Amino acid sequence: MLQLFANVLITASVALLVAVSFSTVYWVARFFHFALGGIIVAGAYCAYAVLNLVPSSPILAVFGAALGGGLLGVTLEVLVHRPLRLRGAAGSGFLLASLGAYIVIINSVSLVWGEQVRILAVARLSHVISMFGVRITTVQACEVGLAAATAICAWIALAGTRAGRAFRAVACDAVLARVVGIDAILVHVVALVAGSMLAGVVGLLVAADVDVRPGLGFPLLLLGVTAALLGRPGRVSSLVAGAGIVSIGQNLGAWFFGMQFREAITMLILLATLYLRRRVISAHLSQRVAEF
Amino acid sequence: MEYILHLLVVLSIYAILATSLDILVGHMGVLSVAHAAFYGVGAYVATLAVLALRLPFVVAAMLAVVVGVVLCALISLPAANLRDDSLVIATLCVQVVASSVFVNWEGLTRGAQGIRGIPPPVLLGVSFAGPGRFAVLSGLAAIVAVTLARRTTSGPFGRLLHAIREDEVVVLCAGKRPAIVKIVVLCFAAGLAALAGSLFAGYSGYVSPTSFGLLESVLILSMVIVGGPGGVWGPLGGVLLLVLFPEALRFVGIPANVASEVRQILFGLLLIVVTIFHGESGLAPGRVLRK
Repeated sequence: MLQLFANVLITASVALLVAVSFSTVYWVARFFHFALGGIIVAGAYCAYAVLNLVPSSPILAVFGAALGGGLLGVTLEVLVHRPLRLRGAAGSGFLLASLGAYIVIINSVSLVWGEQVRILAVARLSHVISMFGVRITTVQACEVGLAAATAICAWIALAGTRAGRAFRAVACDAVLARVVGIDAILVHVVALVAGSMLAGVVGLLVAADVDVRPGLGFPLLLLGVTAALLGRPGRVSSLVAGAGIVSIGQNLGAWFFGMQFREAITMLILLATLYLRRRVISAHLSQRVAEF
Repeated sequence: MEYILHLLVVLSIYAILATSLDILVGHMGVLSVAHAAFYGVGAYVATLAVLALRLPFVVAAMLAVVVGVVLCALISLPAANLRDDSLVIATLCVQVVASSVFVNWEGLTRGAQGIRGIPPPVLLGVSFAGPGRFAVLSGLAAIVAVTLARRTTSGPFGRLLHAIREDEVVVLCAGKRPAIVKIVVLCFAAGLAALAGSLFAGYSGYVSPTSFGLLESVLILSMVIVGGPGGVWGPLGGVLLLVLFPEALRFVGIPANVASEVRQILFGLLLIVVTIFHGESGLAPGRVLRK
C-alpha cells in the first residue's frame, strides 16, 4: 500500500513538473504547446550528450538539459511564434505550427541519435533508498524534491513578486497589460523559455529514471496536460491537485487494466474532464445567447 | 507502370481521407487530429469481418463504415458542445486511446505485429488483386467520396456548416442546433475515413497500428492545411503534394535508413511554413463572411 502511495507520489511529481511547464505557456500565450513534448526529448538528449563528454557530472547534465530546452524555446519563439504573432494568427495556427515543430524536433533527434533506447550515464549513479518497506531511487527522490521546490517557487513568484503580477496581468488581458506599461511580448518570451527549460530538466530526470528514446516526450506531455487541465493554469494549488488526481487515476487504472494501458487511461481522464467541463461551456454559450 | 498504379491507389485513399477531414476543418472549423483513429477502425473492422466472419469485401467495408459512424456518434455525443482547443484536445484523446487499443488489445488486433493475409477484394466475381484493378476500385470510391463531400458542403447545409465555423452563437440564435449538426458531420467524416481504412486493408493485405497513429492523423491534417482547406481542389492538391513529394525524395539519393525521418522533418517544416504564411487563408475565422 505504501509502495502504491510512493508510486502515486512519483507520477504526481512528474505530472506536476510537466503541468507547470505546459501551463506557463498555455496560461500566458493561450495556445496548446505540442512542441513541449519535443523539448522534453531534446533536454534528455542534450543531457545524454553532456554525460557522454563528462560522465560523472550530473550537475552539468542538468545545466545541459535546461540550456538545450531553453535554446530550443528561444528558437521556436524567434522562428515560429513571433512570425505567427506578427501575422495575427489565431490559436489554431499556433497549435498547428507547434505540432509541426514537435514532428521536426523528434525526427531531428532520431536522425542524430537514432531510434534505439539509450541509458544515461547518470542512471548508474542512482541507487535505491528503502524506507518503511518503500523502495524509491535517488532519481525519483530528486523528481519529488524538484516538483515540491517548483510548486513552492511558482506559488511565491506568482503571489508575491512583480514578475508574477506581470504574468497574471498578461494572462488575464494582454492588451490591458500593455496599456499599463507591461511588456507583454517579454512576458511571452520569458514564459516560453522558462517552460522550455523546466521541460528540458524533466526530460533529463525521466530519462535518468527510465531510459532515453525519441518517443519519451509525448506520454509525459499528455500526463502534464491532463494535470494542467484538471487544475487551472495559473493556480499552483489546483495544478498540484490535478497532478494528484491524474496520478491516482493512472496508477489505479494500470493496476486494473495493465501498465500498457496507462497512456489510454490518462487520456480517458482528460476526456472525462473535458466532457464534465462541457456544462460550464454550455452555460457560457447560453449566457452569450441571452446577451445577444 | 505498376509503380504509377500503386501511387494512384495511395492517392485515392488519401483523397478520401483528406476530403472527409476537410469537411470538418475547412467547412465547419473543427480541427481534428483523430482522423487516423477512424481510418484504423475501418481497416481493422473490415479485416476482422473478412478473416474472422468470412464476409465478402463489400459487406465488410459497409460494416466498417457503420462501426466507424456508431463509434464516432458515441464519442461525439457528449463532446458536441466542446469548442476550439477543448475539441482539439478531445480528438487528440480519441487518437491516443485508439492507438493504444490497436497496439495493446492483442486478442483482437494482434498488437504491434498486426494482421497479415487479408485477401484482395472480390466484387461480382471480379478479383481486385494488384494495383491495376485496385486503382479502378479506389479511384471510383474517391470520386464518390469527393462528390458526397461536395454535396454536403454546398447548398443550405453547407452554409449552415460555414455559419457554425464563423460563429456558433449566431447559429444558435437563428434557431439551429449546431451541436446536432456537428455530430452528424463528425459521423459522416468518420464513415468516409472508415471506408478509406477498409480500402487500405483490402489493398495492402496487412494492417498494423503504425499505419493509424497520431503522425498519420497529422499527415492527413497537413494535406488539408497545405492544400488549402474549404474547397474541393485544395485538399486534393495537398494529397498530391504530400504523397508525391516523399516519392520524389527516393530519386534524390537520401539513404533509406534516414529517409523516413527526413520525410517527417520536411512535413513538419511544411506545416509550420504554410501555417505562418497561409494561416489566414485557411483557418482564421471570418473568411466566408468577408467573401
